[in-house]
Amino acid sequence: MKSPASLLVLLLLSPALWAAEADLYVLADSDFKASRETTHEISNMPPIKDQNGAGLCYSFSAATVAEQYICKLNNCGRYSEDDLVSPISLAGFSSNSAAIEDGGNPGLILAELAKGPALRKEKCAPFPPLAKLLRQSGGWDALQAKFSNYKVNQGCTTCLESEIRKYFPAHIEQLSTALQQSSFEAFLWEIFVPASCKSSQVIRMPPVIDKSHPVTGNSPKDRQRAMARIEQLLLSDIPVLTTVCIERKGQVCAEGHATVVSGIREVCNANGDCRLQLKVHNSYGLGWQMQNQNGWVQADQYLEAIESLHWLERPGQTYSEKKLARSSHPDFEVAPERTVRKSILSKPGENIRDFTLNCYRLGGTPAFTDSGRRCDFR
Amino acid sequence: MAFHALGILLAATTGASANAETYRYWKTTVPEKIDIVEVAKFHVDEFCARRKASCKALTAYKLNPSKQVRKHAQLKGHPASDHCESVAGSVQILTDSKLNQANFCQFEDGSLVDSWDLFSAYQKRVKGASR
Repeated sequence: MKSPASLLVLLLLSPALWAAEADLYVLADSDFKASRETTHEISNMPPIKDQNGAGLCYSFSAATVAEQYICKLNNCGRYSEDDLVSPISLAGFSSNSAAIEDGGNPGLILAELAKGPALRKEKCAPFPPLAKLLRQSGGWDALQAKFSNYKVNQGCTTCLESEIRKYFPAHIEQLSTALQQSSFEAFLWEIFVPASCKSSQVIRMPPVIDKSHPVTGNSPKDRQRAMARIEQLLLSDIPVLTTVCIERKGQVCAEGHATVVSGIREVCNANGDCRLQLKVHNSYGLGWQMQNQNGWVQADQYLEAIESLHWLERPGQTYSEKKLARSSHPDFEVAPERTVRKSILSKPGENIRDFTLNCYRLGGTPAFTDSGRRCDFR
Repeated sequence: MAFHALGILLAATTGASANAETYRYWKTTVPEKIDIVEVAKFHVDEFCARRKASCKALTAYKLNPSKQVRKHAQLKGHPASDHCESVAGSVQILTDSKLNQANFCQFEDGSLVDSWDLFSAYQKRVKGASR
Protein backbone atom coordinates (compact mmCIF):
# COMPACT_ATOMS: atom_id res chain seq x y z
CA MET A 1 0.00 0.00 0.00
CA LYS A 2 1.20 3.45 -0.77
CA SER A 3 1.17 5.79 2.16
CA PRO A 4 -0.45 9.10 1.17
CA ALA A 5 2.13 11.05 3.10
CA SER A 6 5.01 9.52 1.26
CA LEU A 7 3.42 9.19 -2.13
CA LEU A 8 5.73 11.09 -4.38
CA VAL A 9 4.65 12.89 -7.43
CA LEU A 10 7.18 14.76 -9.45
CA LEU A 11 7.06 18.29 -10.54
CA LEU A 12 4.61 19.96 -12.80
CA LEU A 13 5.92 22.66 -15.07
CA SER A 14 4.46 25.31 -12.87
CA PRO A 15 6.68 28.31 -12.13
CA ALA A 16 5.18 28.58 -8.66
CA LEU A 17 5.89 24.95 -7.92
CA TRP A 18 9.43 25.18 -9.21
CA ALA A 19 9.94 28.27 -7.07
CA ALA A 20 8.72 26.24 -4.09
CA GLU A 21 11.20 23.50 -4.88
CA ALA A 22 14.00 25.98 -5.48
CA ASP A 23 13.39 27.25 -1.92
CA LEU A 24 14.58 23.86 -0.69
CA TYR A 25 17.94 24.31 -2.29
CA VAL A 26 19.31 27.39 -0.59
CA LEU A 27 22.95 27.97 -1.40
CA ALA A 28 25.56 29.72 0.70
CA ASP A 29 26.99 33.05 -0.45
CA SER A 30 30.43 32.87 -2.02
CA ASP A 31 32.15 34.24 1.11
CA PHE A 32 31.21 31.11 3.05
CA LYS A 33 34.01 28.57 3.01
CA ALA A 34 34.16 24.94 3.97
CA SER A 35 37.11 23.23 5.57
CA ARG A 36 38.19 19.62 5.45
CA GLU A 37 37.82 19.34 9.21
CA THR A 38 34.15 20.29 9.12
CA THR A 39 33.19 18.25 6.06
CA HIS A 40 32.11 14.64 5.83
CA GLU A 41 31.23 13.32 2.42
CA ILE A 42 30.58 9.72 1.39
CA SER A 43 33.29 9.02 -1.12
CA ASN A 44 31.99 6.14 -3.19
CA MET A 45 28.71 7.60 -4.40
CA PRO A 46 27.41 6.36 -7.76
CA PRO A 47 27.31 8.58 -10.83
CA ILE A 48 24.65 11.30 -11.03
CA LYS A 49 21.53 10.17 -12.86
CA ASP A 50 18.98 12.13 -14.86
CA GLN A 51 15.34 11.12 -14.64
CA ASN A 52 14.52 13.39 -17.56
CA GLY A 53 10.83 13.21 -18.40
CA ALA A 54 9.68 10.64 -15.90
CA GLY A 55 8.25 11.10 -12.43
CA LEU A 56 10.50 8.37 -11.09
CA CYS A 57 12.62 10.28 -8.58
CA TYR A 58 11.81 7.64 -5.96
CA SER A 59 13.18 4.75 -7.99
CA PHE A 60 16.20 6.72 -9.25
CA SER A 61 17.06 7.56 -5.63
CA ALA A 62 16.55 3.95 -4.55
CA ALA A 63 18.83 2.78 -7.37
CA THR A 64 21.54 5.18 -6.16
CA VAL A 65 21.31 3.86 -2.60
CA ALA A 66 21.39 0.23 -3.81
CA GLU A 67 24.37 0.84 -6.08
CA GLN A 68 26.31 2.52 -3.27
CA TYR A 69 25.55 -0.33 -0.86
CA ILE A 70 26.72 -2.98 -3.31
CA CYS A 71 29.78 -0.94 -4.26
CA LYS A 72 30.78 -0.44 -0.63
CA LEU A 73 30.51 -4.16 0.15
CA ASN A 74 32.67 -4.97 -2.87
CA ASN A 75 35.19 -2.21 -2.12
CA CYS A 76 34.57 -0.89 -5.58
CA GLY A 77 36.51 2.09 -6.79
CA ARG A 78 35.22 3.51 -9.98
CA TYR A 79 31.73 2.58 -11.19
CA SER A 80 31.30 0.80 -14.48
CA GLU A 81 28.13 0.18 -16.46
CA ASP A 82 28.01 -3.24 -14.85
CA ASP A 83 27.46 -1.61 -11.46
CA LEU A 84 24.39 0.35 -12.47
CA VAL A 85 20.95 -0.83 -11.39
CA SER A 86 17.93 -0.13 -13.62
CA PRO A 87 15.79 2.52 -11.90
CA ILE A 88 12.70 1.73 -13.97
CA SER A 89 12.83 -1.90 -12.90
CA LEU A 90 12.89 -0.80 -9.25
CA ALA A 91 9.71 1.21 -9.79
CA GLY A 92 7.89 -2.11 -9.88
CA PHE A 93 8.87 -2.75 -6.26
CA SER A 94 6.98 0.33 -5.22
CA SER A 95 3.53 -0.68 -6.33
CA ASN A 96 2.84 -3.22 -9.03
CA SER A 97 3.99 -4.34 -12.42
CA ALA A 98 2.31 -1.41 -14.11
CA ALA A 99 4.34 1.13 -12.27
CA ILE A 100 5.71 3.19 -15.11
CA GLU A 101 3.93 6.19 -13.75
CA ASP A 102 4.42 9.15 -11.50
CA GLY A 103 4.83 8.74 -7.82
CA GLY A 104 5.97 5.91 -5.66
CA ASN A 105 7.27 5.04 -2.27
CA PRO A 106 11.04 4.58 -2.01
CA GLY A 107 10.61 2.92 1.40
CA LEU A 108 8.75 0.07 -0.26
CA ILE A 109 11.56 -0.35 -2.78
CA LEU A 110 14.18 -0.55 -0.03
CA ALA A 111 12.01 -3.07 1.83
CA GLU A 112 11.97 -5.24 -1.29
CA LEU A 113 15.74 -4.87 -1.64
CA ALA A 114 16.06 -6.32 1.86
CA LYS A 115 14.50 -9.54 0.55
CA GLY A 116 17.59 -10.09 -1.59
CA PRO A 117 16.08 -9.97 -5.06
CA ALA A 118 17.95 -10.29 -8.34
CA LEU A 119 18.24 -6.72 -9.58
CA ARG A 120 18.10 -5.94 -13.26
CA LYS A 121 21.05 -3.92 -14.44
CA GLU A 122 20.53 -0.77 -16.49
CA LYS A 123 21.80 -2.81 -19.45
CA CYS A 124 18.79 -5.13 -19.19
CA ALA A 125 16.08 -2.53 -18.56
CA PRO A 126 17.53 0.72 -19.89
CA PHE A 127 15.85 4.04 -19.26
CA PRO A 128 16.50 5.90 -22.57
CA PRO A 129 13.81 4.07 -24.63
CA LEU A 130 11.15 4.85 -22.04
CA ALA A 131 12.39 8.44 -21.74
CA LYS A 132 12.12 8.79 -25.48
CA LEU A 133 8.56 7.51 -25.47
CA LEU A 134 7.59 9.94 -22.73
CA ARG A 135 9.16 12.83 -24.59
CA GLN A 136 7.87 12.06 -28.05
CA SER A 137 4.95 14.27 -28.98
CA GLY A 138 1.91 12.02 -29.14
CA GLY A 139 4.11 8.95 -28.79
CA TRP A 140 2.36 7.52 -25.75
CA ASP A 141 -1.11 7.99 -27.25
CA ALA A 142 -0.10 6.52 -30.61
CA LEU A 143 1.36 3.43 -28.99
CA GLN A 144 -1.65 3.05 -26.74
CA ALA A 145 -3.99 3.32 -29.75
CA LYS A 146 -2.07 0.64 -31.62
CA PHE A 147 -2.09 -1.61 -28.57
CA SER A 148 -5.87 -1.15 -28.16
CA ASN A 149 -6.38 -1.83 -31.85
CA TYR A 150 -4.35 -5.01 -31.55
CA LYS A 151 -6.37 -6.14 -28.56
CA VAL A 152 -9.75 -5.37 -30.09
CA ASN A 153 -9.08 -6.63 -33.61
CA GLN A 154 -6.56 -9.34 -32.71
CA GLY A 155 -4.27 -8.16 -35.42
CA CYS A 156 -1.40 -6.18 -36.78
CA THR A 157 1.46 -7.19 -34.55
CA THR A 158 3.79 -5.58 -37.05
CA CYS A 159 2.00 -2.21 -36.74
CA LEU A 160 2.54 -2.35 -33.02
CA GLU A 161 6.11 -3.53 -33.38
CA SER A 162 6.98 -0.77 -35.82
CA GLU A 163 5.61 1.78 -33.37
CA ILE A 164 7.71 0.32 -30.54
CA ARG A 165 10.80 0.33 -32.75
CA LYS A 166 10.73 4.12 -32.78
CA TYR A 167 11.87 3.93 -29.18
CA PHE A 168 13.41 0.51 -28.87
CA PRO A 169 15.52 -0.25 -31.93
CA ALA A 170 16.92 -3.54 -30.65
CA HIS A 171 15.17 -6.89 -31.10
CA ILE A 172 12.30 -7.14 -28.64
CA GLU A 173 12.37 -10.70 -27.39
CA GLN A 174 9.68 -9.96 -24.87
CA LEU A 175 7.11 -8.73 -27.41
CA SER A 176 5.07 -11.93 -27.46
CA THR A 177 4.81 -11.95 -23.66
CA ALA A 178 3.94 -8.27 -23.67
CA LEU A 179 1.13 -8.79 -26.15
CA GLN A 180 -0.55 -11.19 -23.75
CA GLN A 181 -1.00 -8.43 -21.18
CA SER A 182 -4.49 -7.06 -20.82
CA SER A 183 -3.68 -3.47 -19.92
CA PHE A 184 -1.52 -0.98 -21.80
CA GLU A 185 0.51 -0.25 -18.65
CA ALA A 186 1.27 -3.95 -18.14
CA PHE A 187 2.19 -4.21 -21.82
CA LEU A 188 4.62 -1.30 -21.46
CA TRP A 189 6.09 -2.84 -18.35
CA GLU A 190 6.85 -6.06 -20.20
CA ILE A 191 8.46 -4.14 -23.05
CA PHE A 192 10.65 -1.86 -20.96
CA VAL A 193 11.33 -4.20 -18.05
CA PRO A 194 11.87 -7.72 -19.43
CA ALA A 195 10.73 -10.51 -17.13
CA SER A 196 14.10 -12.19 -17.45
CA CYS A 197 17.57 -10.93 -18.16
CA LYS A 198 20.81 -12.67 -19.04
CA SER A 199 22.75 -13.69 -15.95
CA SER A 200 25.39 -11.08 -16.77
CA GLN A 201 22.68 -8.41 -16.63
CA VAL A 202 21.55 -9.20 -13.11
CA ILE A 203 22.98 -8.25 -9.72
CA ARG A 204 21.98 -10.27 -6.65
CA MET A 205 21.22 -7.91 -3.78
CA PRO A 206 23.49 -8.87 -0.89
CA PRO A 207 22.09 -9.24 2.65
CA VAL A 208 20.83 -5.88 3.77
CA ILE A 209 18.36 -4.32 6.15
CA ASP A 210 16.11 -1.44 5.26
CA LYS A 211 15.39 1.20 7.86
CA SER A 212 13.35 4.35 7.90
CA HIS A 213 12.70 7.35 10.08
CA PRO A 214 9.39 9.10 9.44
CA VAL A 215 9.41 12.80 10.20
CA THR A 216 5.83 13.18 11.28
CA GLY A 217 5.85 16.24 13.49
CA ASN A 218 6.61 19.80 12.54
CA SER A 219 8.18 20.94 15.79
CA PRO A 220 11.82 22.08 15.85
CA LYS A 221 12.56 19.01 17.98
CA ASP A 222 11.23 16.68 15.26
CA ARG A 223 13.47 18.37 12.72
CA GLN A 224 16.46 18.24 15.05
CA ARG A 225 15.95 14.54 15.58
CA ALA A 226 15.81 14.01 11.85
CA MET A 227 19.00 16.04 11.51
CA ALA A 228 20.66 13.99 14.23
CA ARG A 229 19.74 10.80 12.43
CA ILE A 230 21.04 12.13 9.12
CA GLU A 231 24.32 13.17 10.74
CA GLN A 232 24.72 9.82 12.47
CA LEU A 233 24.09 7.92 9.24
CA LEU A 234 26.34 10.09 7.10
CA LEU A 235 29.19 9.82 9.60
CA SER A 236 28.69 6.05 9.41
CA ASP A 237 29.07 6.39 5.61
CA ILE A 238 25.44 5.46 4.97
CA PRO A 239 23.72 7.65 2.34
CA VAL A 240 20.22 8.78 3.30
CA LEU A 241 17.30 8.69 0.89
CA THR A 242 15.07 11.63 1.81
CA THR A 243 11.54 12.35 0.70
CA VAL A 244 10.66 16.02 0.76
CA CYS A 245 7.35 17.81 0.39
CA ILE A 246 7.23 20.63 -2.11
CA GLU A 247 3.55 21.47 -1.95
CA ARG A 248 1.26 20.68 0.92
CA LYS A 249 -2.53 20.63 0.77
CA GLY A 250 -3.75 20.48 4.33
CA GLN A 251 -2.14 17.49 5.98
CA VAL A 252 -1.34 15.76 2.71
CA CYS A 253 1.76 16.26 0.65
CA ALA A 254 0.47 16.99 -2.85
CA GLU A 255 3.82 17.32 -4.61
CA GLY A 256 7.00 15.71 -3.47
CA HIS A 257 10.44 14.67 -4.49
CA ALA A 258 13.05 12.14 -3.43
CA THR A 259 16.80 12.68 -3.32
CA VAL A 260 19.80 11.09 -1.66
CA VAL A 261 21.85 13.01 0.91
CA SER A 262 25.51 12.04 0.82
CA GLY A 263 27.41 14.64 2.80
CA ILE A 264 27.31 17.10 5.68
CA ARG A 265 29.51 20.12 6.38
CA GLU A 266 29.72 23.42 8.10
CA VAL A 267 30.64 26.53 6.13
CA CYS A 268 31.64 29.81 7.75
CA ASN A 269 32.43 33.34 6.59
CA ALA A 270 35.04 35.75 7.91
CA ASN A 271 32.55 37.20 10.41
CA GLY A 272 32.20 33.84 12.10
CA ASP A 273 28.73 33.30 10.69
CA CYS A 274 28.41 29.54 10.11
CA ARG A 275 25.84 27.38 8.34
CA LEU A 276 25.24 23.66 8.26
CA GLN A 277 24.89 22.18 4.79
CA LEU A 278 23.80 18.85 3.34
CA LYS A 279 24.98 17.47 0.03
CA VAL A 280 22.06 16.48 -2.17
CA HIS A 281 22.63 13.83 -4.83
CA ASN A 282 19.74 14.71 -7.12
CA SER A 283 18.45 12.73 -10.10
CA TYR A 284 18.27 15.98 -12.08
CA GLY A 285 21.58 15.44 -13.85
CA LEU A 286 25.04 16.94 -13.64
CA GLY A 287 23.89 20.41 -14.72
CA TRP A 288 21.69 20.72 -11.62
CA GLN A 289 24.54 19.64 -9.34
CA MET A 290 26.89 22.19 -10.79
CA GLN A 291 24.38 25.02 -10.72
CA ASN A 292 23.76 24.24 -7.06
CA GLN A 293 27.30 24.22 -5.67
CA ASN A 294 27.64 20.53 -6.40
CA GLY A 295 24.49 19.85 -4.37
CA TRP A 296 25.59 21.53 -1.10
CA VAL A 297 22.43 23.19 0.22
CA GLN A 298 21.56 24.71 3.57
CA ALA A 299 20.38 22.10 6.02
CA ASP A 300 17.78 24.27 7.79
CA GLN A 301 15.59 24.87 4.74
CA TYR A 302 15.97 21.35 3.50
CA LEU A 303 15.00 19.90 6.86
CA GLU A 304 11.79 21.92 6.87
CA ALA A 305 10.53 19.92 3.90
CA ILE A 306 11.70 16.45 4.89
CA GLU A 307 8.95 13.86 5.22
CA SER A 308 10.92 10.70 5.80
CA LEU A 309 14.40 9.19 5.78
CA HIS A 310 15.21 5.76 4.36
CA TRP A 311 18.47 3.88 4.27
CA LEU A 312 20.11 0.51 3.79
CA GLU A 313 22.48 -0.97 6.33
CA ARG A 314 24.30 -4.22 6.66
CA PRO A 315 23.12 -6.77 9.25
CA GLY A 316 24.76 -5.99 12.57
CA GLN A 317 25.58 -2.43 11.51
CA THR A 318 26.87 -0.18 14.26
CA TYR A 319 26.72 3.57 13.91
CA SER A 320 29.54 6.00 14.26
CA GLU A 321 29.61 7.82 17.56
CA LYS A 322 31.52 10.70 16.06
CA LYS A 323 29.97 14.11 15.59
CA LEU A 324 30.75 16.54 12.84
CA ALA A 325 33.30 19.07 14.07
CA ARG A 326 31.61 22.45 14.01
CA SER A 327 31.91 25.78 15.69
CA SER A 328 28.42 27.14 16.15
CA HIS A 329 25.76 24.49 15.92
CA PRO A 330 24.72 22.48 18.93
CA ASP A 331 25.04 18.74 18.88
CA PHE A 332 21.79 17.14 17.88
CA GLU A 333 20.37 14.44 20.04
CA VAL A 334 19.40 11.16 18.42
CA ALA A 335 16.03 10.01 19.66
CA PRO A 336 16.18 6.60 21.32
CA GLU A 337 14.48 3.88 19.31
CA ARG A 338 11.46 2.64 21.20
CA THR A 339 10.52 -0.99 21.09
CA VAL A 340 7.30 -2.46 22.36
CA ARG A 341 7.82 -6.13 21.59
CA LYS A 342 10.00 -8.35 23.70
CA SER A 343 10.46 -11.19 21.29
CA ILE A 344 8.83 -12.87 18.34
CA LEU A 345 9.19 -16.45 17.18
CA SER A 346 10.21 -17.57 13.74
CA LYS A 347 7.27 -18.24 11.43
CA PRO A 348 6.66 -21.85 10.36
CA GLY A 349 8.55 -22.58 7.16
CA GLU A 350 10.60 -19.38 7.34
CA ASN A 351 14.18 -20.11 6.35
CA ILE A 352 17.11 -19.01 8.50
CA ARG A 353 18.25 -16.31 6.14
CA ASP A 354 14.84 -14.63 5.90
CA PHE A 355 14.29 -14.98 9.62
CA THR A 356 17.67 -13.44 10.44
CA LEU A 357 17.25 -10.56 8.02
CA ASN A 358 13.70 -9.81 9.14
CA CYS A 359 14.78 -9.86 12.74
CA TYR A 360 17.63 -7.40 12.13
CA ARG A 361 15.27 -5.30 10.04
CA LEU A 362 12.91 -4.98 12.96
CA GLY A 363 15.77 -3.91 15.18
CA GLY A 364 16.03 -7.19 17.07
CA THR A 365 18.71 -9.78 17.72
CA PRO A 366 18.19 -13.32 16.41
CA ALA A 367 18.46 -16.10 18.97
CA PHE A 368 18.74 -19.77 18.08
CA THR A 369 17.64 -22.16 20.82
CA ASP A 370 16.68 -25.84 21.09
CA SER A 371 13.04 -24.84 21.06
CA GLY A 372 13.37 -22.82 17.86
CA ARG A 373 14.37 -19.48 16.50
CA ARG A 374 13.46 -16.29 18.29
CA CYS A 375 13.96 -12.60 17.60
CA ASP A 376 14.66 -10.71 20.82
CA PHE A 377 14.10 -7.01 21.43
CA ARG A 378 15.52 -5.04 24.26
CA MET B 1 32.72 27.15 -13.40
CA ALA B 2 34.36 23.79 -13.25
CA PHE B 3 31.67 21.76 -14.92
CA HIS B 4 32.95 18.41 -13.84
CA ALA B 5 36.21 17.08 -12.57
CA LEU B 6 37.01 14.39 -15.05
CA GLY B 7 36.58 14.53 -18.76
CA ILE B 8 38.17 17.93 -18.90
CA LEU B 9 40.41 18.31 -21.86
CA LEU B 10 42.22 21.43 -22.85
CA ALA B 11 40.60 22.85 -25.91
CA ALA B 12 42.89 23.81 -28.68
CA THR B 13 40.68 22.86 -31.50
CA THR B 14 38.56 25.92 -32.06
CA GLY B 15 39.23 29.60 -32.28
CA ALA B 16 36.01 30.34 -30.45
CA SER B 17 37.02 28.36 -27.42
CA ALA B 18 40.78 28.58 -27.50
CA ASN B 19 40.98 29.41 -23.81
CA ALA B 20 37.97 27.43 -22.68
CA GLU B 21 37.80 24.00 -21.19
CA THR B 22 36.26 21.23 -23.20
CA TYR B 23 34.10 18.63 -21.53
CA ARG B 24 33.80 15.33 -23.27
CA TYR B 25 30.51 13.45 -23.27
CA TRP B 26 29.03 10.50 -25.03
CA LYS B 27 25.52 9.85 -26.23
CA THR B 28 23.76 7.22 -24.16
CA THR B 29 22.28 5.38 -27.11
CA VAL B 30 25.14 5.34 -29.62
CA PRO B 31 28.92 5.48 -29.09
CA GLU B 32 29.33 9.03 -30.35
CA LYS B 33 31.39 11.60 -28.50
CA ILE B 34 30.38 15.21 -28.12
CA ASP B 35 32.67 17.99 -26.93
CA ILE B 36 31.07 20.71 -24.86
CA VAL B 37 32.54 24.14 -24.19
CA GLU B 38 31.38 27.09 -22.12
CA VAL B 39 30.30 30.23 -23.92
CA ALA B 40 28.87 33.08 -21.85
CA LYS B 41 27.77 30.74 -19.04
CA PHE B 42 26.17 28.30 -21.47
CA HIS B 43 27.62 24.85 -21.96
CA VAL B 44 27.14 24.22 -25.65
CA ASP B 45 28.53 21.87 -28.25
CA GLU B 46 31.76 22.90 -29.89
CA PHE B 47 30.20 23.47 -33.30
CA CYS B 48 27.70 25.87 -31.75
CA ALA B 49 30.52 27.73 -30.01
CA ARG B 50 32.26 28.24 -33.32
CA ARG B 51 29.30 29.80 -35.09
CA LYS B 52 27.92 31.60 -32.02
CA ALA B 53 25.55 34.14 -33.63
CA SER B 54 23.68 31.60 -35.72
CA CYS B 55 23.51 28.94 -33.03
CA LYS B 56 20.01 28.42 -31.67
CA ALA B 57 21.23 26.90 -28.41
CA LEU B 58 22.75 30.25 -27.45
CA THR B 59 19.64 32.31 -28.11
CA ALA B 60 16.97 29.86 -26.97
CA TYR B 61 16.74 31.45 -23.51
CA LYS B 62 14.95 34.36 -25.22
CA LEU B 63 12.12 32.05 -26.26
CA ASN B 64 8.95 31.89 -24.20
CA PRO B 65 7.75 28.39 -23.38
CA SER B 66 4.66 27.17 -25.13
CA LYS B 67 1.77 26.20 -22.89
CA GLN B 68 1.32 22.79 -24.49
CA VAL B 69 4.32 21.02 -23.08
CA ARG B 70 3.28 17.74 -21.64
CA LYS B 71 2.75 14.96 -24.11
CA HIS B 72 1.30 12.59 -21.59
CA ALA B 73 -0.40 14.38 -18.77
CA GLN B 74 0.43 11.86 -16.06
CA LEU B 75 4.14 11.83 -16.63
CA LYS B 76 6.20 14.71 -15.41
CA GLY B 77 9.85 15.37 -15.68
CA HIS B 78 12.22 17.75 -13.96
CA PRO B 79 11.83 21.46 -14.68
CA ALA B 80 14.84 21.95 -16.95
CA SER B 81 13.87 18.96 -19.03
CA ASP B 82 10.31 20.25 -19.33
CA HIS B 83 11.49 23.74 -20.20
CA CYS B 84 13.63 22.37 -23.02
CA GLU B 85 10.60 20.79 -24.61
CA SER B 86 8.50 23.87 -24.12
CA VAL B 87 10.87 25.89 -26.31
CA ALA B 88 10.80 23.29 -29.09
CA GLY B 89 13.99 21.53 -28.08
CA SER B 90 14.44 17.84 -27.56
CA VAL B 91 16.29 16.38 -24.61
CA GLN B 92 19.50 14.45 -25.08
CA ILE B 93 21.01 12.71 -22.08
CA LEU B 94 24.78 12.71 -22.39
CA THR B 95 27.17 10.73 -20.23
CA ASP B 96 30.66 11.71 -19.12
CA SER B 97 33.62 9.43 -18.53
CA LYS B 98 32.47 8.78 -14.94
CA LEU B 99 29.00 7.78 -16.17
CA ASN B 100 27.42 10.93 -14.77
CA GLN B 101 24.43 11.92 -16.84
CA ALA B 102 23.77 15.46 -18.03
CA ASN B 103 20.59 16.82 -19.57
CA PHE B 104 21.15 18.71 -22.81
CA CYS B 105 18.61 20.46 -24.99
CA GLN B 106 18.99 20.03 -28.72
CA PHE B 107 17.49 22.37 -31.32
CA GLU B 108 16.55 21.92 -34.93
CA ASP B 109 19.92 23.22 -36.12
CA GLY B 110 21.52 20.39 -34.14
CA SER B 111 23.02 22.64 -31.48
CA LEU B 112 23.10 21.53 -27.84
CA VAL B 113 22.97 23.47 -24.59
CA ASP B 114 22.88 22.19 -21.01
CA SER B 115 19.17 22.25 -20.10
CA TRP B 116 19.89 23.72 -16.66
CA ASP B 117 21.92 26.59 -18.18
CA LEU B 118 19.04 27.28 -20.54
CA PHE B 119 16.39 27.10 -17.82
CA SER B 120 18.42 29.27 -15.47
CA ALA B 121 19.04 31.95 -18.14
CA TYR B 122 15.35 31.94 -19.05
CA GLN B 123 14.37 32.41 -15.42
CA LYS B 124 16.82 35.28 -14.99
CA ARG B 125 15.46 36.95 -18.13
CA VAL B 126 11.87 36.64 -16.95
CA LYS B 127 12.68 37.88 -13.45
CA GLY B 128 14.61 40.82 -14.91
CA ALA B 129 11.70 41.75 -17.18
CA SER B 130 9.17 41.67 -14.36
CA ARG B 131 11.10 44.13 -12.18
